[in-house]
Amino acid sequence: MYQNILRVGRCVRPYSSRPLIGLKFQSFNEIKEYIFKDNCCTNEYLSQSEQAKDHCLPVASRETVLKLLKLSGLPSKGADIEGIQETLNKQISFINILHDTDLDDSLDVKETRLLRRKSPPLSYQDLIAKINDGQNSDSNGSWDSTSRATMSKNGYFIIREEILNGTD
Amino acid sequence: MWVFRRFNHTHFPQISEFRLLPQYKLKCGLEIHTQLDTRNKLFSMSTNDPFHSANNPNLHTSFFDIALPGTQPLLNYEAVLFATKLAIALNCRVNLDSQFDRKHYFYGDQPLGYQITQHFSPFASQGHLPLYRDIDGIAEINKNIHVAQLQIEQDTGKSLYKKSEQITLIDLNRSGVPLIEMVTEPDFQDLGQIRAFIKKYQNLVRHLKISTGDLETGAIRVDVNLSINDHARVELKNLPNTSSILNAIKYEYLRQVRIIEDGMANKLLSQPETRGWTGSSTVKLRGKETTIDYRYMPDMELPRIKLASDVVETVRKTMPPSPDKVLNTLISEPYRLSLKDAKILCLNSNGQGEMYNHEELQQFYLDTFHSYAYRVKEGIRANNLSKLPTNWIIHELLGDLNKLELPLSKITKVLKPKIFADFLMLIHNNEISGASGKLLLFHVLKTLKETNCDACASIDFDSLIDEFDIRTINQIDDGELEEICQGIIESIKNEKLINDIASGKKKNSIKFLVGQGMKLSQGRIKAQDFEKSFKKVLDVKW
Repeated sequence: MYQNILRVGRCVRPYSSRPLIGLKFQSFNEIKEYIFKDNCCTNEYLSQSEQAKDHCLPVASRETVLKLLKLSGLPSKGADIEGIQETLNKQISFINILHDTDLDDSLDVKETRLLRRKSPPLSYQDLIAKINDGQNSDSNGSWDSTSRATMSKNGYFIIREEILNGTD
Repeated sequence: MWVFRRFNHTHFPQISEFRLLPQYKLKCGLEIHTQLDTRNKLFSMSTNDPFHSANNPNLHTSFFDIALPGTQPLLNYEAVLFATKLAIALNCRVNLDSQFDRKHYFYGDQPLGYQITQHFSPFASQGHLPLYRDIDGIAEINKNIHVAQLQIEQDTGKSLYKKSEQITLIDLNRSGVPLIEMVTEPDFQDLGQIRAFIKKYQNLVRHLKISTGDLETGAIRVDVNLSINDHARVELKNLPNTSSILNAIKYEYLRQVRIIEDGMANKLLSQPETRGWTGSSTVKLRGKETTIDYRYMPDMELPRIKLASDVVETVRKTMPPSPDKVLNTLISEPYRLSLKDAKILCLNSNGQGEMYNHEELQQFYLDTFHSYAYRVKEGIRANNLSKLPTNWIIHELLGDLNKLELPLSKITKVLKPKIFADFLMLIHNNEISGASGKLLLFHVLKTLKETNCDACASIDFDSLIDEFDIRTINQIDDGELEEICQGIIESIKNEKLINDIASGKKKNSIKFLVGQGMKLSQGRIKAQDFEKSFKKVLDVKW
């Protein structure tokens, strides 16, 4: 339980009224190190579930997988159905573990956030200060967003029709 | 049975001559999305200006707006302040502890894969907006439209479909623009109430300065929920302007009445459905079988919006009086304006290409009125006090400003309310006639335009009156005036007209003669003097 709290604690971020952008990565290795660093240790949960009794979970049917793909807006043509069935099973096992995890009943579920909990209510002065604080920022955050896209046209992002097919 | 039903069919009016049929009760509710005019977007520092940046796609997009992995939302509290103002103006109960939730659906212009909205604990609820026959033009004396809830949420981007190229272009300038979704109870029973509510709501958000309130630009978007005789509700979408909203309701009402009359209601009106408006008909977009499961969940990356109890009261104190209150003040003592004129001082236009906004016009009117009233003092009956300020500001001045394309805010740097009151006193004291006054005012405004409203310039009405020689001749010899009138009568060479005026057959045509006299005297002789003299010359008995 204590370990779980620590893990979650590492994911909590401070919340301010100014945007925060971290320092620039200096090398590819730094990026790799950052991305592969386990914070929430979901892999740990997944591997735990593999060892557990959940092996006997029924496998989602082909039809269910196709339905889920449609619901998620993903193409079903050429999809690795068996691979998805396996991944789904792992995910369901993971959810089962979450369900079985002991909860601290003293915590207010309303406050469940990846942020500092129980923030005090804002007075009128606080509210105005937060608005002014936000507006004093020099940066408006805009950038040439399509420059990094694989496909773009006259400043627009592009979505190919085949991705939209089968979605609502 | 079929024959019997057809035989008993109601006569259906065309949309152009639409009327509600008493045996089919219409019940409507509205869902209105309003873009908030905050400086930045709801969860990022990007500039919030989707309308003006329409030609520069993806200009205002920060990392979060395009949902770059690793970016997180940062709440813009200006949207919270704006939502509080609207909630107060709509007499809502503000939820001091609301939260954001994720509404999941997949679409190209929704890069996050979910919309951040308020589902479980919205910002405000239980409000109402009253409509009145006098002010809003509804059929009933008054009608309360109840507001179920207000929620703060983010707008999506825009999709441009290029069918031939099999691609969709995506512009995310609008992605993350703050919206308030307002849901009313199904209180509307006729089209007049819906039209009045939309107009009043539009004016309200402009009055509060929280939105441009334009339907044309999509700053306000209205969906309609409609049912007839308590059959299942149909939601109407894609309604870009007021006429689309009203025409879609008319079409849908008649469509459903036909279904009921054909005995098909159990089959076709038993389940809710969503329909779109094509411009001439409604078409089914979604039924129950394709209802989306949005998988709502609290957004764990955003704090709850917790407000202390002082916020509502303090915000209320900073707000201007409601448009209804201002209207009532203007139609009461001492102003006694007609409702039509009062509305000109209170209603906000869309602000595009206008020469004034209602606030500066209202202030200019009130300041001029008080300055004029102070000088007139006892010299006029109270119910006539607003006659000159109203005629000369609302009708004459605004007309001239539009003609000259001159903004009110510019001319008031020189033509201050006190100076305009000086001008009104010239007319009040008969120093110049109304006709000369019109010419003089236009000349002054034209000069202001030519000098770019130089704040150092001053306006000397007296010198101008002398320069143009337009001072009213107050003491004119009766004989001399009758001679002028006689000359006019002879010059128009229309014996029949003159006889008809003299006999009383065409009483109003005497105004034509007076007009000729005014023209000849360049407005220096009063119209009343001319009328009196013409009557004497023509020996009028009526």
